[in-house]
Amino acid sequence: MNIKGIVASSGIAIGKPYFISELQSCLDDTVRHSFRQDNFRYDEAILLAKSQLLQMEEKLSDKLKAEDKQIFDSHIQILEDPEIRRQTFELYQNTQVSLEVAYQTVMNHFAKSMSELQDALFREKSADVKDVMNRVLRILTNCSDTTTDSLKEKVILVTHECTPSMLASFAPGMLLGIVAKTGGYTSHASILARSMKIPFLFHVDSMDEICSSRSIFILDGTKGEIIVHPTPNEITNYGEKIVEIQQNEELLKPYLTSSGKTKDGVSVPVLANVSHRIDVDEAKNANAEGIGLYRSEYLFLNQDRLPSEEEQLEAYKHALTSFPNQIVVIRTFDVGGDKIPYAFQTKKEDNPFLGNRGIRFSLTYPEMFRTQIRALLKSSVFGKLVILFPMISTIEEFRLAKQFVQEEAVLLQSRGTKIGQFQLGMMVEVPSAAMNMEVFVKEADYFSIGSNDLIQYLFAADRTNEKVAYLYQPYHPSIYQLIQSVIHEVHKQHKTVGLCGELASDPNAVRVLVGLGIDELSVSPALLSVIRKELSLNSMNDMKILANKVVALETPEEVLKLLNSRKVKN
Amino acid sequence: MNLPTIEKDMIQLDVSYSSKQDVFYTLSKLLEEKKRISNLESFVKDLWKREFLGSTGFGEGIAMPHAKSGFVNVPSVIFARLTSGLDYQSIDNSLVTLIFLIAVPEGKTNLHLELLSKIAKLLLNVSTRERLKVSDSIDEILSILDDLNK
Repeated sequence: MNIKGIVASSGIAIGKPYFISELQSCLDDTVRHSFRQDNFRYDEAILLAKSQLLQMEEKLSDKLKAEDKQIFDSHIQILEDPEIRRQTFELYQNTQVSLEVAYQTVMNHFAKSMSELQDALFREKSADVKDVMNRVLRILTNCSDTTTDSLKEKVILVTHECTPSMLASFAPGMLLGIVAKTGGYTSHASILARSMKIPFLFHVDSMDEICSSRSIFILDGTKGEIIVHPTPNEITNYGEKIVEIQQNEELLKPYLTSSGKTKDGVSVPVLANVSHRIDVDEAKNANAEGIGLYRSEYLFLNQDRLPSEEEQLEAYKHALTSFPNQIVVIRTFDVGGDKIPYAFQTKKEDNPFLGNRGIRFSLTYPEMFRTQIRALLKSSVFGKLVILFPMISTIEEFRLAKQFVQEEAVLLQSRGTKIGQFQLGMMVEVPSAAMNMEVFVKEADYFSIGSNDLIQYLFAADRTNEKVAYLYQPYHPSIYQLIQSVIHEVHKQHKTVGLCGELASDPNAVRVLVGLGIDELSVSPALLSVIRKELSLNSMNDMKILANKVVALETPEEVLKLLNSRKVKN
Repeated sequence: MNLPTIEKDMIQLDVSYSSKQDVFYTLSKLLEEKKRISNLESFVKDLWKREFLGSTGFGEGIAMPHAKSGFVNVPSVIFARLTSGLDYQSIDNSLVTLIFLIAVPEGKTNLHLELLSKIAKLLLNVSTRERLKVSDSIDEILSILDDLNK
């Protein structure tokens, strides 16, 4: 039986479940001590919890990136928050509840208020609050922590919500995978799991099945599936897959720092998609040939205010100086849709993906947009900047956005600020733009095809809605026909067109895209080597022939069949 | 297209306005009287269109409302000096006392950008700014702004 979940960290694990359950039972019989005693108990518990956190940080220190270490700092901050202490004792004194119950009530309230915020990252912070709460409550109630030290075999953690502390409590190598009922891709536990390369699925439908089985099961973090009661055959197959993943990593080694070249030596630069500062560093280490997509909105999705001009400049400068000789494509804030920043608590739209998002959103908040443009213009002296506008649907939108840039440039320059060379680009992700390229190619300098949205809008199917997921068809010939015509129009004006969506990281699709003449591909830093390897196995001529066949086909099945039959084995 | 020169009849000294709309309307009316624009209401609308994309009160008491508009006959610049500071929703919240209103016809040239740039550069000089604030003859103002004509 297969159960679905959302992948927070990919990979495959086979093992027995290990449950970490709620501590509610320990809380059932707590009592009030004297006010003095409870004050003392509170402070003791906080101190002990802090020392536990510091020990854990120490234990994991060589495995964690600097960024991830902040997770512990933020826990300690919550722990020592004087406001939480004040509220706890206020409740304690105004009612007859025990210290434990008072603390739990205050912390739950705090977590709840965070979880109700619109911003996903704030919602996830509520998990940190709960983690801290549980730690303190376990200390106060002497409810033994889930000691994982005594584990004799490697396990897959099964829990309601995975917390960083849970992850950290496992001895190195003992944790094979994680299954959780709730969670989020950007939660701290997910970030840790990815950096520790531990497969992790959350939003798992039916936890009861796993809980009741208690025997070996399979966590497939490549497909987002859990197989309970696997057959011996399945276990063997997945065992082979684990070996294959390891072998693939071996095979990719020669491509870890190479550059994008076809078998016959034609250069096809492979750039990196980045969302955070650490991604830029990762991209640089993996020898990305520039930044193909810098998702600038991540600068503030986890904040309750907009980043200042200086903060933005600092972030853009870091990216540009990391790639001084290669292009760095910075996309202006692409918010709206499913990404509404906390700073803009706008009314929920009925049709967010067809609503106020991308460039439309920026043009609605001109002061926000102008601040970003000033930061971008100032950063232009540090490298080869491309300013990319998302969700352009009409030429008027592009002109208006361009006018913002020109005006701000003029004002900055007239005040003596230096501005370097830069290009103005647009995302090609709305069909009205993709089908009208001859107008845009005259005015924009650079084009980046956003295949995820382009496919979603072409098939009129919300890509976050499971019921219409079958319509998200990356192998549909019509996609490639449209991409072909976009490339054709851009090349007529001798300009550059790249592709930064999921298609660029699908080795199968890459052969078609390159065959169609795409100039650049941009993928997540972890996939750079996979794409470089695929390029190196195929000659430009073969890919051209393949692409020409694909655009003449009628159904995605035919496309997939053709692509699989022409796969070059390494 | 050559940059418009600032002309004598386009200088308004020691005037006062009640609001941003009053500024736009009154100054545009002057343009209309001189047949520099073809339609008052539509031109004012175009000024507002730009204003909705962020305040043209660029700080330090200076505003540069501008429009690239289909209703402009002759590219023009108006200089207006106010007797008292006007709340213009400037980016630094300063009250506006000096206004340069720019009107350029639609088209592919970036005339308005060139003008904005020239004016902004001129006003960088603190003493120029001060002189604009205190000079009491139109001829003197004209000579200060003469740099724009070069």
